[in-house]
Amino acid sequence: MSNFTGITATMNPLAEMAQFKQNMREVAASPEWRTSKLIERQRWNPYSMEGGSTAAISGDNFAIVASDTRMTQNDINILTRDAEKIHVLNDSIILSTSGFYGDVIQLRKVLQSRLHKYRFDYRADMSADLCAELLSRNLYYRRFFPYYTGAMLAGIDENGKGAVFSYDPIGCIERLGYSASGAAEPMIIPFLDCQIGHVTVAEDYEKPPLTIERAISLMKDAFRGAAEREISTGDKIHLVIAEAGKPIVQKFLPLRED
Amino acid sequence: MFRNQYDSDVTVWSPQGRLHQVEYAVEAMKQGSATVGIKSETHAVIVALKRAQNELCSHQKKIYEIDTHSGVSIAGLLSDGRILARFLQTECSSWRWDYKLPIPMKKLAEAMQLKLQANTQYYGRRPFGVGLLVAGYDKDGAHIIQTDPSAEVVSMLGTSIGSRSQSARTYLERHVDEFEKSTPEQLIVHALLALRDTLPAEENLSAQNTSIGIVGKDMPFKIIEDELVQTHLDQVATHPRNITAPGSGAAPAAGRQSPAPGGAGAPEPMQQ
Repeated sequence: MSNFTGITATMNPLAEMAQFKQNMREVAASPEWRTSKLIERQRWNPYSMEGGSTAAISGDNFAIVASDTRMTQNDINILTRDAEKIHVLNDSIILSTSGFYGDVIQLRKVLQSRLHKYRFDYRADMSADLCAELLSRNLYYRRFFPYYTGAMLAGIDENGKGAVFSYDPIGCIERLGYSASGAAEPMIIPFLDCQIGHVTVAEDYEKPPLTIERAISLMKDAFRGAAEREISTGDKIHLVIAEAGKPIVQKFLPLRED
Repeated sequence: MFRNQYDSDVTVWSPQGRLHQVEYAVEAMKQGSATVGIKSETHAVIVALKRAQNELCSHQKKIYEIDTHSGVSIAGLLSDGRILARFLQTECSSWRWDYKLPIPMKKLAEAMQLKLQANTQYYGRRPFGVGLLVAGYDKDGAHIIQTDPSAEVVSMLGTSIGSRSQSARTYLERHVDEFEKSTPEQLIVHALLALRDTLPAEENLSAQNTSIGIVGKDMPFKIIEDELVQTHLDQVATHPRNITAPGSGAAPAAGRQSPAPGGAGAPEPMQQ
């Protein structure tokens, strides 16, 4: 490379070309900027993805959360068909998580412990809005070794309205009308965007109201669709329904097992 | 109680082999308003009399839920009691963190014992001036555990602590055979009847001054207070009250007013 001095009339074009190709090969094999430290090696990964997906929809006075119940390893090996990804923390708060299952369990433990202490200190259950902020902070406490989960919190807020809060792994909180997380998130969210957010339809389209029956039906369809194509989603739908003023109802519905 | 030269520190023994500070702490417990606890095969109930210093004050809360399977009622220095209730709550919480299960009542009693005893042996500390009745339900059944400032932690079938609690204990001793097979409602009625016996003649149990805590098989700990107590008090009202004024001969209690203060010379006959 450093030998190259520019076009010289004396050099033969063929020899020039050969020289050029030789220089290119050398640079491609070991560029100047690459040092030996950047050679890739296999390292132990503290995270593993157990697959699965969850979704949540909130309405005027209800919130429903659904997840599949399959736990996989490397996306192909099924570890269990009965994994619990939705955790009912108290009468008005539901936590749903997907991703690294070790962090799923730990996050639930942390929140349950804080809710327990709150119940003693204030002699009442914590509300969904407070818990949402609490979860955001707890996720950020682990900013430098995150909980590898797509967490969602759903429930009935203090005004009796349904609430869904969506988080990224380090605690960015957003209150939404609907959300999904996990392996089938890219399949479920566009479906809900169309059916609930109505983003793909015209302004004058007759938008159906979001009743609890419609929400449940959409949830089932979303998961059935996701299970068709997404390999780590399937087995059963775990559906949890919270309505203002009523106890939380949990159901299991069958889903494809392949 | 008499003062003597061996009662200045909890670390000083008297020649008779007593720790006076600890005994004085037990006296503090006896000044608190009464609380009663009873257990059956499947449930444990605690009831407490909430005191209000005057009409402007709210009644002080005496029953705390420490976990879904246990609760505690306090008699004595309520502020000390709250610290102990918080300690019990953190023990329950930490056991759940480690084992994902509710703490067995035996373990809770042991933890209490160690905490209370520490304050009776180190210089510069004072014993907690409060007695607790811990009600719980675990795989060994229902429990009522009584604790003392002297760090005596004992399991009981039925007990009462606080002022005038002897009358309640007398009631409990008389009815002890009925408790094991009682239903939760019957247990609450027994506890309230025992509590009623600790009241002086002119007072009565009311929705404002009574609170009930109950826990048992398939029943997480719940506190019944204010209006909800009334249904149980109505049950209790069907049992006639047996009032024996100690020492001064049986006097009818209904409609009695307390003696008018500042009467000049000899007290006038009680016709008001």
